[in-house]
Amino acid sequence: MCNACPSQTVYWIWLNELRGIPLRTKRTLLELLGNPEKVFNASCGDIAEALAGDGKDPVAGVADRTHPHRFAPLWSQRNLGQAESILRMHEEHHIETLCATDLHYRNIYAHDPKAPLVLYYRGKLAQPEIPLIGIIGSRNCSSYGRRVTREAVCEAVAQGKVVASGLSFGIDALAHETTLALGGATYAFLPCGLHAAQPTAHAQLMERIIGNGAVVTPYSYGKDALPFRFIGRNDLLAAWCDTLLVVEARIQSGSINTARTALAKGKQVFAVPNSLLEPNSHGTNHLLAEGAHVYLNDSLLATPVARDILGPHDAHGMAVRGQGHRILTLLTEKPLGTGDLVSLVGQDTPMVMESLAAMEVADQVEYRSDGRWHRVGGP
Amino acid sequence: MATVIRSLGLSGISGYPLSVEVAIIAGLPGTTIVGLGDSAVKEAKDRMEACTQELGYAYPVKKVVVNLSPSDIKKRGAYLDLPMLVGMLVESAQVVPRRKDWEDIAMVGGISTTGSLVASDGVLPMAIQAHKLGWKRLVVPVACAREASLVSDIDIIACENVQQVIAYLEQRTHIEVYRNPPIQGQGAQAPSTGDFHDVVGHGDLFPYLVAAVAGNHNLLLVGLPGSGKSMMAKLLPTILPPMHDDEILEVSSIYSIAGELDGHELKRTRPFRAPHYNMSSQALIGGGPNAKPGEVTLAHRGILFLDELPEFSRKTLESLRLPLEEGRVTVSRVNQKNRYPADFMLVAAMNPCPCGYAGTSRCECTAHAIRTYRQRISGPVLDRIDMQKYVGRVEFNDGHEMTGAVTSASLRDTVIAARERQLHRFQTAGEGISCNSEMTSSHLRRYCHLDDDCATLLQRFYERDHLSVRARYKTIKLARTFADIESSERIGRTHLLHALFSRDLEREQRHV
Repeated sequence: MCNACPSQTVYWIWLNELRGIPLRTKRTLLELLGNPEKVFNASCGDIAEALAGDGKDPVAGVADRTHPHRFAPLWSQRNLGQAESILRMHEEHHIETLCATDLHYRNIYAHDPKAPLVLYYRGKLAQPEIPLIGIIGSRNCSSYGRRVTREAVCEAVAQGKVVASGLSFGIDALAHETTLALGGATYAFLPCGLHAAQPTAHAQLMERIIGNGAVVTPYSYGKDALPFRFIGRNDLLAAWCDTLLVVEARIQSGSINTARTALAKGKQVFAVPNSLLEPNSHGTNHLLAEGAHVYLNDSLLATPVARDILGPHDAHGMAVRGQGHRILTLLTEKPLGTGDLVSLVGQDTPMVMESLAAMEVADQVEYRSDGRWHRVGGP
Repeated sequence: MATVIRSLGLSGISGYPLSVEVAIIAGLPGTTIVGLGDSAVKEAKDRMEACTQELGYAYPVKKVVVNLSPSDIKKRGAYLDLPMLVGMLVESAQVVPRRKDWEDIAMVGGISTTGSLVASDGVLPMAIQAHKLGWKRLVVPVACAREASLVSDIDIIACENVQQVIAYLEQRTHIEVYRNPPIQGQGAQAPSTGDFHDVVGHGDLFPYLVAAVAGNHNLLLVGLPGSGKSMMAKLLPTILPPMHDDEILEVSSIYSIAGELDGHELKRTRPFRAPHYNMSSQALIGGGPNAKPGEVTLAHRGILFLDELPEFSRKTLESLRLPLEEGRVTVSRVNQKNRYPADFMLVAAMNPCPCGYAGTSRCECTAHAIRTYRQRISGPVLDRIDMQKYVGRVEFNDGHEMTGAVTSASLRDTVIAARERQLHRFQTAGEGISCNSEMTSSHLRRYCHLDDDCATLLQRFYERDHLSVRARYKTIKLARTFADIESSERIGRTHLLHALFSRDLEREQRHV
C-alpha cells in the first residue's frame, strides 16, 4: 500500500498498467493534472486539451492536434477493474506498492524519465538515504569472480551499504548469500511479478532476502519473466543504485547492458579487471575502456594463508601455515594433483591434506574436475 | 494307486520339492495336467504322447490325470516332462522299476519327441535344494549334469534319453554317478583381465579405490573423456576379495536361473556387470512376464558398473534406490512374484559436464547446462553413493612411462586384510553384517568413536557445507574404512580427512 497516498494507489496502478499511452505521455499528464485520480476523472477533451496546450514537444503537439480525439475510444472504456484485481492479489500476498510520490522512489523517478510510475516490492526497504551498491556479474562465474564478490560484499556490508543484485545464478546469488550471511540488507530486482522467484531454484533465497531486505520489481503479480522484462529490470537496478560493481561479464550480457545504462545515467560504475585471455571477463575489461572505474582491493592479496579454520590443532598449526605458502607458490605456476603436491612439498600426505583442507575452506585453493588443485584466481 | 515321482520346482533363486503324481482312471481318453502349470507344462501331454509312441509303448486309452503337488504354486517350463512321462509309464505298468530305492530318485528334465532329454535352466539351485532335503539321487539330462554336480554329496545320474532312464530304473543297465571333471587351477583367484599395473598417472586415486572396495562403498568416478574412468572401473574386479563357498553357490544359482552360467561351471569370481545405458528399468531390476532376475541381481556380491551414468533414463536410475538401500528386490508379475538378492557395489562413471571438459579452459558449458546435466542424477541416488572422486587428466610424462607403480595383487591384499578386519569386528559381536557400508547408526556409536580433535574437524565441515545427517554418517563410515585399511583400532585425523576428501562432486557443487 502506498504510504504517501493510500486512496490513490489503485489509480496509480491503473495508470501504470494502462496500455495505448506511452510512458512519456502518462508522465506529462501527471505533471499537468497533479495526481492519477484526477487523470482518471478527466474527460477525453480535457486530456487532449492538456496535451495540446503542453507544447513542450513541438512534434508531439503537431501529432496531437491532427488527431484531437485519438484517445477517445481508449478513454471511454477506462475502468479500475484490472487495477483493483491486481491490488487485491497484492494485498493477499503482502506485496507493497511504491508510487512515484513515495519517499523511497521519488528521487529515482524524478531523475530518470524512463522510470515506471509504480514499483512493487515485498520485504522491508531501508532508509532512502542509505547508499545502495549493485553487485552483478556472470551466471557462469569463476573462482576468481566468487572470491572478489565475497570481499566486495564484506566491504559494502562493513560500510553499511545495501547490496542489490538480480537473484540470478552465479555472482548475483553469491552477492545475496554473502550479504545475508554477514547480516547485511540486500535488495533483489526481479524481471517478473512477485508470484514466483526468477530463477525458480532461488525461491528459498528469495524468501530469505524478504526477511532481511526486499525484492523489488516493476511488474505486477502474475507477469512472467519474458526477455524484454529483464531489460526493464536491469534499467531499474541501474537507476536505483548509487554505485555498480560488475564482477565478471561476457561482452554480450545483461550485466554489461546494466553497466552501460548506469554509466549513461552518470552512476559510479566499477569493473573488476581480469586476464585478457578470459572470455568471461571480456565485457568487464571493455567497460574499463568505456569509462568504468577499476575495482581494486589490496586486502585480497593480504589474506593470511590458511586461516585457522579447521580447529585447534596446534601440533600442526605452524607447519601447516609454512607449508601453505609453499603450496600456493607451486599452484601459481600450474594446477597440480595431490600426489604431485606431496612429492614437491616433501611432506607426508596427511600434512599436505591438512593444509589443502584449511586453504580450501579459506577459499584460496579449489579442487576441480580435472583432478587438480587450482589456486583461486590462478591458472 | 497313483504313482508319485520326486522332482523339484523353482521359486526365485531357490528350488523347492515337488511331487509329480500320475493317476490313470476310468473315463474318456485324454490327459489333464493340474497344478497351475503354464502352457509349456500343459503342452507336455502332446510331447508325452508322441514320445510314448516313439519309444514303442502304448499311451493309455483312459483318462490320465497328472497333479503337480504342491498344486498352489505356479510352475513354468518343460523341466517336469521327464517325471510326468516316467510316472505315466510306471502307472500304466509298462515300466516296472526294479531298483528298491526307485521312489527316492528325483528327476528333472525336458523330453523331445525323439525320446532324448532336453536341458533346462536352474538345475543348480534344484540340486542345492535336493541336497538340503537329504535326497540321494538326482536324474538330469547330460547337458545339465556338470552344473548339477557342482553340489557335492548328491549322486547325479546323467542320462541322454528316456530309454536310459527307464533302463536305469528297471536295473537293466548301470550308470556311473556323474563326476565333475577337475577344474584347472583354483578358480577363486583373480581374473586375469588386466592389472592396475597398467594404470599410470592416477596414483592419487588408488587409496580411494581400495577404500571403496574394502568397505563395499558405492563409487562414482567423474572425469574428462579419455581420462581412464572406465578402464579403472573395469579393473576393479582384479582387487575384489574372493568369495566364500556360500557366496559361490548363491551367485552360481542366480546365474543358473538366468541361464548365464558359462560352461556350466561354478562362478568363482565376483560378478562384474556393465549394462549399456540404453537398458530399461525391468532389465536392471528384474521383470518380464516371468519375473526374471535383472542386472542388480546378477551383480549380487559383485560390482554393477554403470558407465555414462547421466545417459541412463531417469526411471531406470530411480529404480536403483530401493535395491541400493535394502540389498534385495521383489519383482511382482501377474504370473509370479519373486524375491531376488541384490547386494552389490555400485560403480558409476560420468563426465563433469555435457561437453566433458569442465574445470579446464576447453569447457564451453554454461552453469545452467552443467547443473541440468548433473541433475539427471537425482539427489536421493547421489546421496546413496558414498564416494565421488574426480579422475584427473594424465600428465604427458606419466603417460609416457606406460607402467604404474602398484599392482592389483598388492591392492587386493590390502582389500582382503581390511575386509577381514571388518568381518572379524562384526562377527565377534554377532552383528550380522560384514562391511562398513552396511553399518547403521547404532553400529556407528559402537565402533566409530571420534575423539575431540576429529569431532571438531567434522563439525567445521558439517556446518560449512550444510551436510545432511546421512552425509555425516557416511563420512564416518568411510573414515572407519580408511582406519581399517591402516589396521588402526581408532579413527584418526588422517582417516577422517581422507573421508572428507572422498566427495569431490558435492564439494564443488557447493560453489556453483
